[in-house]
Amino acid sequence: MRLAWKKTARFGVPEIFAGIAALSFLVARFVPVLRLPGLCPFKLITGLPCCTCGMTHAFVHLAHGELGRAMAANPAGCALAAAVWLFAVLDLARIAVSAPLPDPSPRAWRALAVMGVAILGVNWVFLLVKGVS
Amino acid sequence: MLARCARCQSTFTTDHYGTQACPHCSAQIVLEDPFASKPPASSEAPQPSAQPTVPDQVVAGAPPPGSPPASQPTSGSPPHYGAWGPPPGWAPPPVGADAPVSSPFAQRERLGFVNAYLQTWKMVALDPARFFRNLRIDETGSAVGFGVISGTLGTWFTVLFTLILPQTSLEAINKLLEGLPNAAELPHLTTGLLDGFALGIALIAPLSTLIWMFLLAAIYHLFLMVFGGAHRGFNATLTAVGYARGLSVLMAIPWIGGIAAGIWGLIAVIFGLDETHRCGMGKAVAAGFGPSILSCCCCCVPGITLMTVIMAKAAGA
Repeated sequence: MRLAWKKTARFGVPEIFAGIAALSFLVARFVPVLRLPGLCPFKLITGLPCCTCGMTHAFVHLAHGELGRAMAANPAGCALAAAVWLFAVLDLARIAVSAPLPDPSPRAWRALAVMGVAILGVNWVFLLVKGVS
Repeated sequence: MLARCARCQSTFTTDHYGTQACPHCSAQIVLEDPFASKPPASSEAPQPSAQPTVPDQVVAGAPPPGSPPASQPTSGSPPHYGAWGPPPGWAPPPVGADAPVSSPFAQRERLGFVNAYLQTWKMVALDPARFFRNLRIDETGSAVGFGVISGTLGTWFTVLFTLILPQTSLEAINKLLEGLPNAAELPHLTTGLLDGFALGIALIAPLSTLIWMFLLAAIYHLFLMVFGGAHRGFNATLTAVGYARGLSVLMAIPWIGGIAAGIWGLIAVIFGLDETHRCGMGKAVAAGFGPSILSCCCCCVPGITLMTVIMAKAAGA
């Protein structure tokens, strides 16, 4: 599969997402979000974790360098945090050197999307098993 | 004038002819000047068909001669145009019913801000299919602005209702919450606690609405890609989400406003995804419920259940 590259505007949608990713790191690192009461309505009603339960813990632990605790809280959340923060850094570097943006084919995008949803599903099973046991 | 990219079929505004980059897919395209004298046709590389153009008309761009062929979008069933450009005999659509149009909110300088906002809101709420059908998807700034204003207003109304909620209502909610399985994790609700939260939420409402809108659009787009419906890029999804977010002002209605805004907004998003991506209602519905499965199995279903319990208790009392 050949990866295409495209020139984009200096500030566009990828940079907005990079900004959101950077903000998520700053919040996870410096704001005491874990002191806020946990309020997942799904868990409140059913007693079982939802597919995104533990994501905040995963982001916060990873931002503090606690990889093991982040993985235990939510493996997909840990991977997501690492991926989006890496994306923010890479995008900043890309802007600095005015490099083009990778432009995967629609087929590749679709494969990535399917993989992401599948990972989320597997992650939910893991959380349910962990929550029940 | 409006131009349409031969590669991604998106429309954009330009003020000059000649070689230029499509703002959506960055493909190099050539807009031929209909008033310029034509050079003699080369026998080796046939030129793409010339497009009859007039100012303010949608014209199709063709790639420059000798440029590398780009792959066509594979999702869906787009017409086969070969490596580049439209088939022989293709002509640009006439200006009229099918031409992409700006939303009233995008024309707010001409219509006036309040008038443009109200017109747009009315169209999104009452006839979303027609509103999104020919909507331009290259004016995402207006869509995002419309969504941020509406979402912020909705949040401020919710905060206002929280601040005036009497302590007796809070005690009633506390009693109801005590019966839930994980009630121990919840704090005891007091007016002081809620006031602090509410003021904090009100302060960051514009930023949080903006971030939430982009994240929501990303999730919708992810599911559209999974179902093979993302035909026109992220801007189309962002446009649908931005304008549908306008229904957040329904949160100004006490008690039922949040649920009404959620359900009505979801319907508008589904129509928006269907029309902006031309992906079909089935894929739009599937993509529309994707985030609902992700986040609303966390919020909507338990929220409705909780509401049912509250109403049942109220009826019993």
